[in-house]
Amino acid sequence: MHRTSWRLTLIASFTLGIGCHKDKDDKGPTTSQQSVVDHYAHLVHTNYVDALNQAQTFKESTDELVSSPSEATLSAAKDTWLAARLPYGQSEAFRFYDGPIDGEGGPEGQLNAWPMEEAFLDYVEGNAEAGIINKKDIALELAKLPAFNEGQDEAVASLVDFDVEKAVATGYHAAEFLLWGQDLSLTGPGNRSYKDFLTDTKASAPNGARRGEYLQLVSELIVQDLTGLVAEWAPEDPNNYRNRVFLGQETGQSLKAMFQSLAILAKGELATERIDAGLQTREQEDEHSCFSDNTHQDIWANAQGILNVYTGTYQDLKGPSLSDLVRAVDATLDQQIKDRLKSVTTTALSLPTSFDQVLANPEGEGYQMADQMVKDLIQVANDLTEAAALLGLGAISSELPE
Amino acid sequence: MRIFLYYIVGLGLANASCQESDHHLEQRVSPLGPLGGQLTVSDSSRHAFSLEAPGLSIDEIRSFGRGKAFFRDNWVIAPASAASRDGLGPVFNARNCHACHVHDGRGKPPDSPDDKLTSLLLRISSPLPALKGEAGPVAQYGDQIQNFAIPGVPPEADPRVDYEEIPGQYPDGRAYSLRKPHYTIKGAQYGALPSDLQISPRLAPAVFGLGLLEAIPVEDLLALEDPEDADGDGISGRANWVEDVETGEKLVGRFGWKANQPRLIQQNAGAFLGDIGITSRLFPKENCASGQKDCQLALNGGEPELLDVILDDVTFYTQTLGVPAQRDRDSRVVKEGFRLFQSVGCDRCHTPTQQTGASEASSVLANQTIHPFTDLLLHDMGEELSDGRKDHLATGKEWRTPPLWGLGLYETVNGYVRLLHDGRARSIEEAILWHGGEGEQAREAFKNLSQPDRNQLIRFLESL
Repeated sequence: MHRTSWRLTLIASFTLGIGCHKDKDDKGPTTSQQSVVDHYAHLVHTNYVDALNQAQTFKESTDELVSSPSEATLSAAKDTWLAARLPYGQSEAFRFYDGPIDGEGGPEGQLNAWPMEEAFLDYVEGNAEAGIINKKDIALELAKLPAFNEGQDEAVASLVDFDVEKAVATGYHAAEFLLWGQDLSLTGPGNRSYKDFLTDTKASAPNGARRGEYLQLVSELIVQDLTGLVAEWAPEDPNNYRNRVFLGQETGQSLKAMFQSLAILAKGELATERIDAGLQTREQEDEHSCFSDNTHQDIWANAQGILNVYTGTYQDLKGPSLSDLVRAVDATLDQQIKDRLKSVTTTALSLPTSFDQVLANPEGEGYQMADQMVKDLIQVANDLTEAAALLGLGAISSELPE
Repeated sequence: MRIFLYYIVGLGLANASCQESDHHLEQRVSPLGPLGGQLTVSDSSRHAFSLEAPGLSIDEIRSFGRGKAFFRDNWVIAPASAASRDGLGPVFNARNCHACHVHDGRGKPPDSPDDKLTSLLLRISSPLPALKGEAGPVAQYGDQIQNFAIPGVPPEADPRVDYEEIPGQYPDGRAYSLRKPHYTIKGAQYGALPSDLQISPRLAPAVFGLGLLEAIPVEDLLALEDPEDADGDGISGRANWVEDVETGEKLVGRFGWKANQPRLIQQNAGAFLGDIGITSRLFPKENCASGQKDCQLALNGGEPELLDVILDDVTFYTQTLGVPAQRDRDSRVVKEGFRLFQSVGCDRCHTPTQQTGASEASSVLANQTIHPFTDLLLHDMGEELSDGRKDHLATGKEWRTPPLWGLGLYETVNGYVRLLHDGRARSIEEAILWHGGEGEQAREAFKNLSQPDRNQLIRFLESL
C-alpha cells in the first residue's frame, strides 16, 4: 500500500511535469509520454510497410504460380506466404482500440478471419464440387471479393446455396487454404498439388484457372488492404488516422490505447483464443494456421509484436517506449514484463513439434511449454494492466471486446 | 429476512393511499448493495455485459477466456480441418452464440417484414391426435423453425414479422403507442405447416449473471410460490418443473422465457443443438425432423459434435460473466423510483433480493446477496402476451419473470432496446404497459402515477 502511494505520487509529478526537483531534471532526459506516442506511430507505419512489401512479394509469387504451375512455383508461393505472415502477425499488436485495422470499416476480418469454411471456397474431402471456385456462374473480380467475405453478397449466397453470413472468403487464411489445401494429415500440413492450378488434362481438380484467379485476387486484396493501413499511418498525410486521431488526441488516451491493445492481444486473443482453446480441445487443427502448420510462427509473431511495441523496437528501429515509462516507476515490473514476453517468443520457436502435434499430445513436453506460454501471457496482461494504472492511465481491459 | 421485507412491502401496498405509511415505507427502502454481489463489475461501457467476474482463479480465468472464444467463434460446416469446430446445422438459426446474444446482451427482431429473423426464433407445436389433442412437435419440422441451412439442405422455412401500432392513453391523457407483432411463415420446405400451428417467438436474452441465478437455492424459489394465490393478492407464481436430461430427475426450471431449462449446461447444450445444430453429450441426436432426408444425410462433425470441454467452458463463461453495477444508486430520483417500484407492486414478481447458496461451478458464486429482480417463477401475463403454446408446465399465458439487472444498459451495449420475450417493446415503458394477467394491477398502478412519478420509476429501472 505504502509502495503504491509513493509510486503514484511520483507518477503524478512525472506525468504532469510539475514538482520535479531540479537535480532530477539534471539527470538527463527522461522519456516523455509524447515521444513514446510519436515513436509508436513511426513503429506502426514501419511494421505495416514491411507487411505490405512482403505481401507484394507474395502476390508476385502467386502470379508466377498461376502463369506456370509447378512444384517449384507452388513452393515459392508458400515460402512468400510464410514470410508475409511474420510482419502481419507482429502488426496485430495494433488492434483493439478502434484504430484503422479494426475500427469501423477496418479490414481486420477481411485480412485474417478464422476458422475457414473450406467448402465455401473450394472442393473438400467428400464434396468435389463445393465452393465459389467450382461455381462458374460466379464472376470473379476484385471489387466483388470483399462482399464474398462474411457474406454481404446475396447473389453469391444463392449461387453457392450457402448461408454466407460469416463464411471466410478472403485474407491470409483463404490464401493459405488455396496453397496448402485441407490438412487431413496426422503428421504434416495440407498437401495440395500444384496440379490443382493446371487447366489441362493433367489437372488434379477441375477449375484450375478459376482457382488460380481466385488466389491472385485474394493476394491482391491483401495488398490493397495493407496499402490502406500504411496510408492511415503515413507521416505525411495531415488527415489520416495517425495525425488526425492518434497524435491529435490527448497523449494519455493514446498511451492507454497502446497498453490496452497489448493486454488484449496477450490475454484475450493470443493466450486464450489462439493457444489455450486448442490446449483444451486437444484437437490437432484447432490452430490458427492449420493448413500450413505455421501456428508456432503466428504465436511467435504476436508475442514479438507485443514486445516490439512495449520496447519501442521493430527490427533495426529503436526509440522511446512504454518500457521506458514503466521502468521509471517500477523497474521490477518492467523487467518482469520483458522477461515473460521473451520467454514466450523463445518458447514459441523452440516447441519440439508443430503446434498441431503439440495439441495432439497432452502428455508431451510441447504441451507443457504451451501451457506455460498461456500462463506467462496472462501474467503479462495483468502486469500491463498494473503498469497502466501506475502511470495514471486508469483501468484497462485485457479481455477480447464484443 | 426476505419474508420480513416482503411483508413490509405488502403492508405498504395495502395502504398505498396512506401518506404516513408511505413515509414509513420510505424509511425502510435502503439503497441496494452491489447488484451481483462480488460478481459486480464497475463498467457501464458497451462492454458492460462481457466482463469476467472479479476474483476468479487462474484456471477459472482460463476457462472463462476460452468459453468467451467458443461463444464468439463460428461453427463451420463438416467436414472441416478445424474438426473441433465443425458440424454446423444441417439446419440452424445462427453460426455462433454471440450472433444472437449480441455483446452478451439481447437480440433484436427485424423491424420490417423484408428482413429475415436472426436473433429471434420461433418455437412451434401443433395439437396431436396421438397426445389426445395436447400439442407436440410438428411433423417434418420439430419444435423450432431453423431458417438457415448448410448447402444442399433446404432451410425449414422463412418466418417474417410485421407490426401493428396500437394506440393507448394514460389516465392523465398522455398518449402512447404499442407495437403488436404478427408472424407469417413463408417458404416452408418440408410440407405445409398445420393450420393449427402454435408459434412461440423467443428473443435471445442477455447471458450475464446466470451463474448467480443458478445458485439460488431451490427452496428459496419454492417459498415464493403461491400457485393458488392463497394470499389473495392477485399474484400466484409457480415453478416450472422440467427434466434434467442427464439424470431424468425433475428440477425447477430457471432459464429461458418459460423457465424450461433447469441448469445452465442443459440450457447451453439445448441452444447448441436447437439454434446452431451442434450435437452434444446431453443432446446427441442431430436436429433433423423426421422426413428431412437431406438433413439426415448431411455429414456430421463428430458424435457428438460438441466436445465436453467446450460445453464446460462455454457454460463456465455464462456462469461467471459479471453483473454491471447500478448507476446513480444514491440519487434522489433513483431512490424514489425504487420506492415507487415497490409501491405499485412490481417487486411482487421482480423480487429485488435473492441470496445464493452453495455453487458447484465456482466459489465466487456462493453465498452472495444479489439483486436480480426476479423470482424465476412463472406468472400469467395475460392474453395479449400469450403465445398459446404449452411449454412443460407453463401455459401460453405464463412467462418466467425475467431479471432486470442491466436493464438500463441495453442501449449502450446493444444499441437498441427490445424487451419482452419477442422484443416487441421498444422501451422500458412499453414493456411495463404490455403487462397483463398477474401484472395488470401493477401496470394499472403505474399508469395511474403522475407523469413525473412514472419517469422516476423508469429512471430507477434505467439505473439497474
